[in-house]
Amino acid sequence: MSTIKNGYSQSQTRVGILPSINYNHKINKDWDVNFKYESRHFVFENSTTQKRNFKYEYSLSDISALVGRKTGLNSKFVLGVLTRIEPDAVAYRTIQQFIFQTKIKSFRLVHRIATDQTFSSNEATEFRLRYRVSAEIPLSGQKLDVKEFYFKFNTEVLNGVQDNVYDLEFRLVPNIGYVINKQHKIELGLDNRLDSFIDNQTRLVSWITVNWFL
Amino acid sequence: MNTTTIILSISLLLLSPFVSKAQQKYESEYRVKTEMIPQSASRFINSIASDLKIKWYKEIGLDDVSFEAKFKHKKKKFSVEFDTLGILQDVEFVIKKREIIPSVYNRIEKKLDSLYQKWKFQKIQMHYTGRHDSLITSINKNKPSDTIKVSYEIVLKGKALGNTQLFEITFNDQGEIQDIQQIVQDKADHLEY
Repeated sequence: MSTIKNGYSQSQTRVGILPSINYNHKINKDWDVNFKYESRHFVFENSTTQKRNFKYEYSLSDISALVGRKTGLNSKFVLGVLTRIEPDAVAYRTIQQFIFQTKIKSFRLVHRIATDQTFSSNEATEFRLRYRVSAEIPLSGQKLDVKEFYFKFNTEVLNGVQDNVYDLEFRLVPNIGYVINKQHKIELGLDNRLDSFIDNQTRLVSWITVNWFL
Repeated sequence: MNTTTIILSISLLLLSPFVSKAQQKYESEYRVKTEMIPQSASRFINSIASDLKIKWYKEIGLDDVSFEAKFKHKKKKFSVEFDTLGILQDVEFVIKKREIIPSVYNRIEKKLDSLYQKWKFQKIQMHYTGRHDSLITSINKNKPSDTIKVSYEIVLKGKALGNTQLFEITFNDQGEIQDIQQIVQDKADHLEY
């Protein structure tokens, strides 16, 4: 968590909790669907203009539905929609993703190239281009099995344009996960998002993530 | 339906007794300390070379339990499997396709061409089974002695009838198919979404 205070820049740090539920269903050998519910809850804020403040604030909920189609043995194309519900606004997002898997030694790497477009009645449309790589490292052997822990690390770069203004965001997300059984996994992590630093308004948001995959 | 499709369909039908969908080979595997390994297993590995950096794993299968030693020796990656009493099961190591005898490789290639429209090697392993002393000599000389039984385990990506899957195929030392297993890949939804 960082605070920069000088005459040329200001920054903000916020911390919150980000629980999510992910349901995946394989329709057949080529198609699958993913439904996700995620919500955001702020618990702490610190900025150059405000003192450190522990305070609960509900931020928003995201509900998404994605459909994936295999394009190769380890690749798929995904289309989806997301609805973002905030206390005073609703926004809609269309999503396009290309996902492919590679391996380094016994580590699985999943690469995701994505574009999305966010539409809202009180803001200009936002267009984003994203690249994320996720690495899975089993902690008990060379392969992840039931009742074993694993380490997952995501890193993502997001390029966004809204109202002709460009922004860049970086995300670093380390997670510890546990395979409960063949259907369920649970993860605990820290989702660190750094943006708005191109125009000297650096913003760091850190989320404590709890993810349930079923 | 064109001629190629008919030939591939017939080939797959004829080979179907060999093909089984690979259930997971084991229920779980995890790293174990050397102290947990039967002494006879440790002794065999130490007799290959004394300075090996070995990682030991315990594999709990549907019907059995085994120990596996993984190490690098003479620039090759070895896996040596033992049962719970420390009795050697087999020795396998990763090789490149140019290390297969050309006449055997040609037979393997022809067989794969008849099975798949397209195929690509992911991994090739050579298996040795035989007496301990012959195995140790064969490993250190990088050449199987006459008493060693050799087979090849090939993991490949194969496309047949428009469908691409991962397969593990075992060939004997003459390049004849002994077994085909389709590999079922692990779910990656926690990495994809």
